[in-house]
Amino acid sequence: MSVLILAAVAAGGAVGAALRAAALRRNRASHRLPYATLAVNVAGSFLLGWMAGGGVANPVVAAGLGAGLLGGFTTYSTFAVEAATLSRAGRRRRSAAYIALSVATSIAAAGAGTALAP
Amino acid sequence: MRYGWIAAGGAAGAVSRWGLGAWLAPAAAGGFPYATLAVNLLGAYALGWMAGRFSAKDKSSAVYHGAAAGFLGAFTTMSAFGLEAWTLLADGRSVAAAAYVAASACAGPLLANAGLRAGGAS
Repeated sequence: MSVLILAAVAAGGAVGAALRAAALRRNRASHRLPYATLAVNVAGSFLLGWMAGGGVANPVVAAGLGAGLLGGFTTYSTFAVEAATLSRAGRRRRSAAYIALSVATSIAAAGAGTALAP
Repeated sequence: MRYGWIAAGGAAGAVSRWGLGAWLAPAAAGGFPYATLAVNLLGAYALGWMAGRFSAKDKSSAVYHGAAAGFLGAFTTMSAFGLEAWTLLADGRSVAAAAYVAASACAGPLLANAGLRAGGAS
């Protein structure tokens, strides 16, 4: 069972990371904030909340989609480096806004997903 | 090819996060999401270091795609953070929730900045 779960997490992580990389190509230097990262993180948080609330019964599927796909799709490291980079460029208020927005919307999206789960 | 390296790194990153979470689970008996916090802070520093260390040209290399966008991107997670913070709030554990949110909001960007500096970012 645990080998199956491991394989499911690996497969989910591979797909999630590739999907994120494709989505983050939409981050543009001309944008005031890294909207693509924000969108990826909010969408992934909503879906993880929805999954947790709905209770995916099969543990292999749950691990593959939750810890694997959605864990690999959403990212904290890119968020942190983007926030630090904005701050280093002298955009301190923008960095603070990005941090507040990312944290608040991820929590709210997870809560909304839980509430809207079947 | 680029997506192949990212997918391979993503698989390794997700498995490492999952394994570390299982390993740290006994320490999280109090219900505080230490595992996600540790993974996220570690990954934030590491990605900062890589972003500082690699030149713009080297950032299109297979190593950077696999290790940065793949491994570190998947190793760290925002969805688990969102759900864990929400769960702490919903359970009425507002002090733990506030501590978790504050640590995630402040320490990650600060560590990413330290990583950028250590990596030699201008």
